[in-house]
Amino acid sequence: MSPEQVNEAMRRCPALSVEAAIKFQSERDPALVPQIVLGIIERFVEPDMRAKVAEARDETRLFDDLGIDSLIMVEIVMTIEQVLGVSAPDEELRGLRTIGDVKLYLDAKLRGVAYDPGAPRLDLAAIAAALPQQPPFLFLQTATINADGASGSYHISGDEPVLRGHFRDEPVFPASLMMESLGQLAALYLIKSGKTEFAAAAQTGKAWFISAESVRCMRICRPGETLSLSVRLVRQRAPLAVFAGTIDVDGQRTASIEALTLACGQLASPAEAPAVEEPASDSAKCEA
Amino acid sequence: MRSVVASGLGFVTCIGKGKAEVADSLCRMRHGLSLYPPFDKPDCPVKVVGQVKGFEVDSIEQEDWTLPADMPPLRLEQLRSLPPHGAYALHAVAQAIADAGLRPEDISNPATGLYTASGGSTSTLFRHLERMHRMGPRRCPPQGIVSSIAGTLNFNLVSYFRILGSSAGFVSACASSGHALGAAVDEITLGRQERMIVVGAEDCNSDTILPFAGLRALSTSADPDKASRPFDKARDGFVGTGGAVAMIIEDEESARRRGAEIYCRIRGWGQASDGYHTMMPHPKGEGLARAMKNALAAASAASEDIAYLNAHATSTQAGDSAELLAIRSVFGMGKSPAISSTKALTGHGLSLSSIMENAFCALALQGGWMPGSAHISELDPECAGLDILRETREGAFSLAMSNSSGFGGANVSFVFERV
Repeated sequence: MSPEQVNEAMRRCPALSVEAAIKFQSERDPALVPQIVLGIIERFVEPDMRAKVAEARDETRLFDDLGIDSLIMVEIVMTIEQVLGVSAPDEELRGLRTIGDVKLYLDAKLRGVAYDPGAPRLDLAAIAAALPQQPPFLFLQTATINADGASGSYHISGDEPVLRGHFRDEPVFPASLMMESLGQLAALYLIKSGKTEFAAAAQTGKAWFISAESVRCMRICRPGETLSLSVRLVRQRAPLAVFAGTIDVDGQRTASIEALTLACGQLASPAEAPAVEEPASDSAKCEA
Repeated sequence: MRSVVASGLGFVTCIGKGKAEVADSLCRMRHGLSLYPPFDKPDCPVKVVGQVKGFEVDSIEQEDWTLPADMPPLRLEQLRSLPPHGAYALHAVAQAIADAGLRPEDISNPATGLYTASGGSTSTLFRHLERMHRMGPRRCPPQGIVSSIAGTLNFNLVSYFRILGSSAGFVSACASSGHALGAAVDEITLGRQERMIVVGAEDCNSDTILPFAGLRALSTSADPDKASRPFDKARDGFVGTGGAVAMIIEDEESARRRGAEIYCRIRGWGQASDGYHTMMPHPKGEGLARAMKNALAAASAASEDIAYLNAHATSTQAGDSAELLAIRSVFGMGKSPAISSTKALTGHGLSLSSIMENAFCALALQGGWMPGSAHISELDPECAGLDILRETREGAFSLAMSNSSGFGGANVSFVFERV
């Protein structure tokens, strides 16, 4: 499609999504797709839902959270088909329930692989079967694997053995275990993503903690609260993967990690792993 | 038998938005016709249209429309299912509901129904089909059908107003909204519904109006002050218009119980068909004559009781002549009601015309005036002996009759009574 055609097809979509769509015509970079899709979704939802789309996470539900019924979905998909140059038959769309499902579906489309709608949602049994961590050191109860990350949850029951000692007379979920829960979710992502870059994790069922930068805890978590966990892959260089992670409780930001680095697969010792370089600074680019 | 009254009116017309402006236009015989820019082409024989002001609804994309500030609120999803005349109709129905003093729970109620009349949106249908032929069926927007086919008005209004009672659309060309009102009256007299909303609407654009030039039914006059002139000897066809008119009718007892302001009583209605031609009326207006007699019978009224008759008369040679003969056959020589055709002021609203003129009768009965028949320079000799009103006549009167005739020879007639 020419830029004029993209502009016409995406009339009324947010400007940045239109730019991404124009760029996509020549680059066909799957990384552009989430922005394009969210822009198209934003255009078709009711005006009072637009803010929700802008803040949407993978687990945001199309119908329950954004009011997108099957007919609005038809219009969204029609525009996506035109702009991304894919064909999305109705049977394939039926199972899509969340923003994450849509991203995963389109990612599979663009890579030419089959989309398996059933795969990504995991319960405790599936998680325990996949991860090397087990109770009483498993701090992940549900998980959804998406194209570029994962979301999940953990409910603090209060029966966790560590809480007896943390603290005396006042059970508080340790910050270190908040970080551990995000690490477990990130490890689950590496094992379950199906991406060739992380084959070592899938094969060995292991991922190792390397480092964590800028870890912050904003709230104290106590028994009875449910942690909403989210990790997003920000960069990778095999065998390492770096994630940004957040924890929310009842919609309130509770903890965050800017860069959680894991290594895939079998390592003799973590010290073997090379460092993942920071991306080149902007000032270097500007000199050109 | 239960008595039915009109308790609410809403108008989006070329002679005004809202009953005050419309009543004023009728009394002062101020027309709403003007030169229509899309007709300003050498190969277009027609020049004048009764344009609806305050609504900019030409774009296929409803989000481009400019609607009045007092438009009822619309979700994006609802807006994108509307034809142009759907915007007019929403406004008119909202006016009528407010006018009748009804609350949302009265409207969304198993005892409240809604009947509509429109020809569908020709322009919307054309554009969606053109897109389908060009890009294939999978590129058609889902709302393509519901925003365009005849029925679009009831699809949209029944869902928007959450109508739970009777609902349907009526398709009998220029008699459509008359059939809608008559059937709505029957719903109440039969005890099926307490109140009914009746709305007629039509697009006001080239695609709806210009095809009538093909059957040579439109005036080719370029003078908005003369083009629409029912009963004039030199009349040369009708002037098209669109818009929407809504009337709310109720069982009289329940209307009075809630202290509603009542415009008039609907004493009765009748219909009959010509069985003659797809487009031409019976030359002697036989079907219309029987429709008028049926209306009088249903109203238990005698022809001499009718003080004012709002004629269908569209300003065509054949149509006006046929109606004059029908009127004579019903009323007899020398016993003429005061007659006018308000189409001189409004033009012909097609599916909209019947309910619009019925609503004008309601205003006239409540206000105590009879609108004149405008733009007559030389009265057709066929009118000899009939009381064709050249000016608006002041003074209260008891019974009004309103006629409408449509393609295929459908004829509808109403008798309204002052309360």
